[in-house]
Amino acid sequence: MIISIILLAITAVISLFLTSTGLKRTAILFSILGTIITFFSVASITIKTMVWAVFSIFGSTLLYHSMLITDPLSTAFSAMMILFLIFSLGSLYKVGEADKAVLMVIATTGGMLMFSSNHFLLLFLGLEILSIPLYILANNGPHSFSQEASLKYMVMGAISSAFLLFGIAWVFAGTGSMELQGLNAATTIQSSDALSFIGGLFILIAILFKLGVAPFHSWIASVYQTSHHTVTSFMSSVVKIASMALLLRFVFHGISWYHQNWGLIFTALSALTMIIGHALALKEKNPKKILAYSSIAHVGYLLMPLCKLNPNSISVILIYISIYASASFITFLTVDAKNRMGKTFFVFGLLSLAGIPPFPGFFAKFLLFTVVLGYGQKSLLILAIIGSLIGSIYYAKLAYQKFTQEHQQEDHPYLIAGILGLIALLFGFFPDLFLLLLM
Amino acid sequence: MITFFIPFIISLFFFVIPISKKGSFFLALSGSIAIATSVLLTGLLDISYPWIPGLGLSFSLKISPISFLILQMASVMMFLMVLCLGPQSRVTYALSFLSLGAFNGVLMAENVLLFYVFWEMAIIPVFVLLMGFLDQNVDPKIGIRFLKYNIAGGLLILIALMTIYLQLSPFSSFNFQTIYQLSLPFNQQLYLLGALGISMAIKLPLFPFHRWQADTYAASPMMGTMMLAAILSKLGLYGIYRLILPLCSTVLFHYLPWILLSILLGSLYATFMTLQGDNLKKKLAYLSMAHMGLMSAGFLSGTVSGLQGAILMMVSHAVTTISLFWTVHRLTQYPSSEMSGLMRTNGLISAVTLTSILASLSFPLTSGFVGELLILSGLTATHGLLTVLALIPTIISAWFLLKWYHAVFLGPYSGHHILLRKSDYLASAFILLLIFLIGLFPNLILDLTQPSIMALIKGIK
Repeated sequence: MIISIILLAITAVISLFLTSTGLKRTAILFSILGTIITFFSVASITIKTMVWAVFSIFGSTLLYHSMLITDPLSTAFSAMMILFLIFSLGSLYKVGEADKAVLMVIATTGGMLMFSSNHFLLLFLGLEILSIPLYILANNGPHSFSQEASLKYMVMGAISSAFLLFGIAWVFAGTGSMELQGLNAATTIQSSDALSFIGGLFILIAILFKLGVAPFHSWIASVYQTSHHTVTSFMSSVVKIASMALLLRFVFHGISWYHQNWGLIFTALSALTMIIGHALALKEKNPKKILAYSSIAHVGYLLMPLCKLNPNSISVILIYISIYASASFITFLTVDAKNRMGKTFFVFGLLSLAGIPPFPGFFAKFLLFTVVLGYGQKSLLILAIIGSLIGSIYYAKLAYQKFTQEHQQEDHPYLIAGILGLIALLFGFFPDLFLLLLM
Repeated sequence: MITFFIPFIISLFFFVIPISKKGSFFLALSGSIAIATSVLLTGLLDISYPWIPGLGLSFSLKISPISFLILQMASVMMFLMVLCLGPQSRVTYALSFLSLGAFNGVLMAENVLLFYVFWEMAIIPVFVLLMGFLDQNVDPKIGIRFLKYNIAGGLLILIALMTIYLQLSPFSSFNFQTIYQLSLPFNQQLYLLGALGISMAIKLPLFPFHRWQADTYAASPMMGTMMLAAILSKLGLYGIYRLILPLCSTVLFHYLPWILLSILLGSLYATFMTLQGDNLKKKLAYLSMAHMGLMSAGFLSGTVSGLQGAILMMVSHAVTTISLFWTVHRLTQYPSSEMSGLMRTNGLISAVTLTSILASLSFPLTSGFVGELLILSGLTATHGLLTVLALIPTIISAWFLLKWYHAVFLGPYSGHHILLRKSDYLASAFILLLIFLIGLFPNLILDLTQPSIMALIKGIK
């Protein structure tokens, strides 16, 4: 795992150097190349961990004084993140904005570090490396309010980082350890429950802020609306995947004293997020904001399987978030499209987000709902289904709006959206391929 | 297999290749003939490929006698629709063939999830057709409402299917044959009946869930209206046959009198609605809703004659609906108040319209008669009093239809004349042929469907 992170960091540094010498296209090409190499290194690690798992020597391996964890969770989510990073970089090539590319690579490095760390300080470091480029990326959008949005995002992000540090301090006070495994081990003892519980809650709040879960969702709409569409599609895919992976890491490795209360917390959060996301989206007029609110609602769906501690939900969440990320990547990339091609891809993404059957979103939804129904969460499921009904209404409105606008000539082929759409469609028709890749 | 792919290939062809209006007209005609012949040639096929083995899903298609009949009906109706409406834009054809392909998929699907996939897929092209050709002065909310109702119905089926899916042992196939073997407890059947029943009631539509229908039929371009009325609404009946009857029969027969009563009252309401307003498309939409109520009563009655009558009436309803909407389509070029005495100049149109009206009123020797008679006899056998209720809509709709006919075709001549194309003669002859063929030789259909209906009813009881 460390090799992949280092590879990505080196890529970032060299492309930064290339950018500063003015070779913008070359810098982007180099960063794409480096990212592809990193992807293969992650893939090789995935194969290696699979081999280890077969011989059952290590379920998950701890490296570097048990600072980093290499297990299917970190490799699979890293691979998915890097895949979407490649698409983001590709979408930047036409514009030639190499500085954005460098920032995206740095942010992804931070993301990988964040959810493959076993140590809280490394986790904090990763989170900051992820966040700070995002503040800059959100800054130079085309919208006149983008600086304001970025500033708000930074202030709120700083507060959430403070929450994270505070939580880490509580956990350290409670357990005397800075490691996730240590927290895990120490919290099985009843006496230290209170301190660690409070610490865990604070850490959780910081993670939920990054993910945009309901009470901490307010930054998403303004940031997504004001940023450049390549940045927004990066945020809604790569950053979402990273934050979700961090949440899963924390839930499944950090809090082993998982009891009914945590399930209740996640159930409530999921319900609240779905309701708020869909309700705000239904009321909204601006297409980018509607998509931003719908992304909040989809995070609500993602939290549904966490109502029970069951490691099987990780794979379902991975499938759902990958398919969701592909759909939202396409829609955010083509949200300003004016030619027929771009509009078609936009509607494609919307149909996938809505979960209309032949599109990949449907299979993700079907899997997720079946798992949740299997956990016996009937009321949550009914809420989710009403939610997806509301969702399909505003997606239909968006599609209608898009197609009643005049078609214009535009010299933009939306190649990246098309390629991603085709891949997603392939997986939509043959979800078995995808399951095979994950196993 | 080829039957399944033809509509999609034709649709893709229309989307991709820019051909003239006339060329696409002929392509659409030959395409629908190709579907009909391929259904006829391949007959009762049965194929299965593994699709998602991890979830027990397979891509299996099967044509049973009943779906053979409905497939054949749909392709013939497609032919008739194209012939009636004349050259249209190629996007219209592309979308209608896409929808027809999904419809065929529902009828052929042997896997339950595949059934749902096609069920939802059939809605989208019609929605695009509706929204794409909406007039500036029509409220776009109508299209949104259409989508809202239909997606809600689809999601209800999804809930029902997921509850069934969780009952199966893991890795078992999610085919219809597997789920028919489940014996569900009463309580669960009740929920299933609720979810599936409401979703079918939206599709058909039946009384409390019909609000999308009249506006959609009125606002949609004629191709979309015919597609919905003649072809897609039959999905609701097929859903009753495929899901409700085999899965929740215990609960269904427990509450059957009440369900039938509410359906027939809904029919009565719909026929009363035909008497008010002056939008003919809306009136015909309500008429279609009344007939749908009667057909679903026949299906739900669970008797051999009821089911057979309903299937016969389904075919007849498709023909008469297309014919009546066709007449309305040709009249809409003139303000309705000015039209009268058309019989003097347009003998053919008036003859076809009168025949269709009589068929839609179940006049003896026309296609509607045997179907309605069988449904009524099925109802009499089980719930005698309800038969009376089922008869009233026919009388009221006769009032509306004959009054309309009188106003437009009889009476003083207003000097208008509807021009006929060459294809109109062919279409008229085809409609007359179908109406009398089914009316005189109903056994053509009844013999085909009888064995599978007997098997179904034996399975239920």
